[in-house]
Amino acid sequence: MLTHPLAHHQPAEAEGGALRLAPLPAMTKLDLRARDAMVERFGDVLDTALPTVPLTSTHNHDVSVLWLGPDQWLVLGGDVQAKLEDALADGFGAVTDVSQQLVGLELRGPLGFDLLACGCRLDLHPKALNEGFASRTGLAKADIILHRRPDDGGPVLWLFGRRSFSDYLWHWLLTAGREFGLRR
Amino acid sequence: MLLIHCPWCGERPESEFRSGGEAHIRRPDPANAGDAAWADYLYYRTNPKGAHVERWVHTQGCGRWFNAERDTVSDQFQRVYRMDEPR
Ligand SMILES: [Zn+2]
Repeated sequence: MLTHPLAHHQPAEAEGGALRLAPLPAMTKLDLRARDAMVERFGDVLDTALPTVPLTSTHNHDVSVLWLGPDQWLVLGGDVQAKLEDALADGFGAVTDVSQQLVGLELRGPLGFDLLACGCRLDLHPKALNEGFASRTGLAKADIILHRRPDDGGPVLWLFGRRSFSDYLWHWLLTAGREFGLRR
Repeated sequence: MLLIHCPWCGERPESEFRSGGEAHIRRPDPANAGDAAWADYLYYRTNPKGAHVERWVHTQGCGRWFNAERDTVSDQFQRVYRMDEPR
């Protein structure tokens, strides 16, 4: 069963909806390694091609595929592990369940970029960080995977950190968010 | 903050990278190499003042190793190229 170490936390919000921090619901996360023909085979199974353009993602109705490196992807959601393993068969590649390794957080609202800028050195201007953006990077002292979802009444950012860093990330975001009116 | 151009991710902050020392160092053939060749392989580096070819890894990003030519005087990166590209 999937668990979430931050699930007991209530979302924190700033007045007026400019910023909202919440734990993401627990979801399946798979780390894919593939090259050449296997990239296409995995894409067929997922019903969406694996993104080959760096820092992008692809989506279908229930699965998102994030580019992590030229031969590495993160699959979010869906019930696809068995099908991917079948597709792998005796081919060269890997399907690794990292659902419990990575813990997800969601930042909603236009101030999400400003909050991240307190601890992340990427170019976080909303125009530089397009919808669909995906990359590993750092936030304060933690490694994270940063992903911008399609806009939903405003920008939506997903962060995934290592499980042992989840408390640290949660409290760092709450503390840095005070400046932007984030209150529990 | 110094920006380093990753061949896959583009311009990224220096803090996301780790240096792997001098590039293009070949391991000697164990069948024929003498002590001098091993000592050279293990311990001796060119240490130039000026252009230096180095290996770098984008640890907090795509995780890829690549080669870079860096000026050791100005700390400017002159060029980056992938592991499978010629020097
Ligand atoms: Zn990179």
